[in-house]
Amino acid sequence: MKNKRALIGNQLMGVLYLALLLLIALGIVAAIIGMFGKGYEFREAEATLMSEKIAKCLSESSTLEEFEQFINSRTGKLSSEEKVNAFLDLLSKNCNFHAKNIKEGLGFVIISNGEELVRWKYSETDCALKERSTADSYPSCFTTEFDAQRNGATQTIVVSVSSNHNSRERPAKV
Amino acid sequence: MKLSYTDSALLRGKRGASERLNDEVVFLIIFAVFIAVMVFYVGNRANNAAFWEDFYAKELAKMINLAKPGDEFRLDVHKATEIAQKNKVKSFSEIFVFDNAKSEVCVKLSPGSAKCYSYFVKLDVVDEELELAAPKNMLKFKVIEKVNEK
Repeated sequence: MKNKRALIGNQLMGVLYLALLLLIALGIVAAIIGMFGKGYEFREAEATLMSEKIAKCLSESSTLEEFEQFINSRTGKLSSEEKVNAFLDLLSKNCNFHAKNIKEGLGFVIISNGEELVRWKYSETDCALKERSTADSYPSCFTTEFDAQRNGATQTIVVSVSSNHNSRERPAKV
Repeated sequence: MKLSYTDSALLRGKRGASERLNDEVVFLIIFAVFIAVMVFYVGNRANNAAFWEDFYAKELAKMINLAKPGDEFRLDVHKATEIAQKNKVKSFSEIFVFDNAKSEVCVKLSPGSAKCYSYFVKLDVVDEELELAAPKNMLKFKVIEKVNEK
């Protein structure tokens, strides 16, 4: 006569064994997805690079002066989009930046002596949230500051850039 | 024939031992199948073409963002070519494609889609060439001022 308790115990051990293997498999899959699933994280490096490049451009060229002249020359209020386009056109003309790609891939804000000159898709809240959370949707940000001699006075220029730029998939050619 | 107590106990023991052996064999087979599946999966993912496409596209864009007109580059792309070859990409000339019109670089390491990443400077990439076995596979290219800007 078979020992029913032993049979049940045997079956239970079998189920536990399979559950253990499943747990190990899930752990391995999760580790691999964690390491390789998200792509190459590059936003912080890009925000740093572009913040410093734009700051270098502003310090070595007349971009800021020309931008302020443009704003002062316009009668009536300028929309933020018009300001951004004018600023990017000057960056493109003076420092060889690609205005369209910057507009699509980056956010920025330029501040002179505490006064905001131009802003595009840059949010201090999002930057702060990125530092405090592991969520991927927030952009990476970097700020570069420098002092410039302008109009006989020293002005502090702050260049903050955010990047949520990612690669795009190009479908296979048919 | 009625078995004695000792004989029936021995027979139960033998049955128990052979059942245990069967269970062990089944567990071993399940474990072997599990190991084989895991090794196959990890091996497959270790050659993660999507990740390396992303890596090379972004690193190349970074190099171009930092470049000045006239700069020449020579980059070790041996790993990329190995992965592309394993994934049966038709030709090495398909791996790295610089699109000067869109100012972006595309990297393809598998027969499917490619990963493209745009850069932020107005420069054109010219004279791109894949040097094979010199001693490793190297990508060479030059950047110049943008030509025919729209």
